[in-house]
Amino acid sequence: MRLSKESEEFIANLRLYLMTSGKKDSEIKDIAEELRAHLEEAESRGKNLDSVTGGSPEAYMKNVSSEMITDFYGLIKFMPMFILLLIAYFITGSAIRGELSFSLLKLAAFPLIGVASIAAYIVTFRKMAVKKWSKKKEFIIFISIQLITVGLMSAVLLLDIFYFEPFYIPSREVMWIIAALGVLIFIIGAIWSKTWITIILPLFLFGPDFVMSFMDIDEMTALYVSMGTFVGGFVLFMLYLLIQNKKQNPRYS
Amino acid sequence: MSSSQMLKGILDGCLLAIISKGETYGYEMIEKLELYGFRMVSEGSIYPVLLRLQKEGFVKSVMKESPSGPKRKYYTLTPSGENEFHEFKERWESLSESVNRLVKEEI
Repeated sequence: MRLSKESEEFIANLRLYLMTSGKKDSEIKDIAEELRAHLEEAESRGKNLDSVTGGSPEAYMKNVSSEMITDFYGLIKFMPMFILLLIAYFITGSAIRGELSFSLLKLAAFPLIGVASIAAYIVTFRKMAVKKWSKKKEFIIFISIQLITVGLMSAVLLLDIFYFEPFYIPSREVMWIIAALGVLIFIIGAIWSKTWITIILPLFLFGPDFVMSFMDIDEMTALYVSMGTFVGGFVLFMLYLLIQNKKQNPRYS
Repeated sequence: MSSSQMLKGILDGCLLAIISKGETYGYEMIEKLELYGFRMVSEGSIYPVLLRLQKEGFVKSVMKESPSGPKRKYYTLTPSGENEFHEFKERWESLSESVNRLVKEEI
């Protein structure tokens, strides 16, 4: 039996909400299946979503969440890998381009920006799950976070060039080794998370730099190619999330 | 105070009572509750309670294929759930007696 679009959305949102609340995957799957079964029976008898949530999906999701154990161990468990991936995203690109340098500003600012950006995404996901936002609003918010992140990072890079002396610039050979380590982290990340995303995304982000570092291309062209593939990669990433979401909710269409 | 607010405190016990009558699943519990005259329950409100009862070890659940369509989660009482149910029954009897005496001014 098919569920109404409203109920499908509610279940997808509940999963998102519980996921970003750090609940266990298996328990999220359980309660989602249970509620789906309930909604199917209720809808086949002419009731709607409100009969289940009591009219406020937001209050209902919070209520369910408060009765589930937060899986702190599960969250802590994936932090090291997460941090490694974050570092790899920050340094692999410049290591390939041969522009890697370490300054105090970068060491302090990049982790902060990274953490702030991820926190902003998680907060947005949670809000998105309980509020009824239009697709347009969701899109604008995500693009804004992305632009602010990129903007802040660029600002730090500019400041760094003009005002900060790097305390360590690796030799070109060391940079290749760092780049190789970055690639290795992406591959391990892919195996660990059982998704292709940590391979595909870096491929789009750093692939062009890698190819172009062997070619004689002027800087502006290189910049355009990089930006182009970056935007393309971002769009593909969003599409990928959309497809994954449909796969996990096969009856959602 | 609405009846659904009053029910909040005793829904745990009511669900234990329903489950004590035999293995059952969410939607069926709602139907049984309605059979006994509970109409104020927003249907979904039983699931957070079921999560809590399971967390406290009063009920256990098993997923089973249903003859028609989706998998259902069937609940049964554990021995400590049986205990809790009996204690709930005692607490409820003494409480409802007192409330009745009070509102009907029987003293």
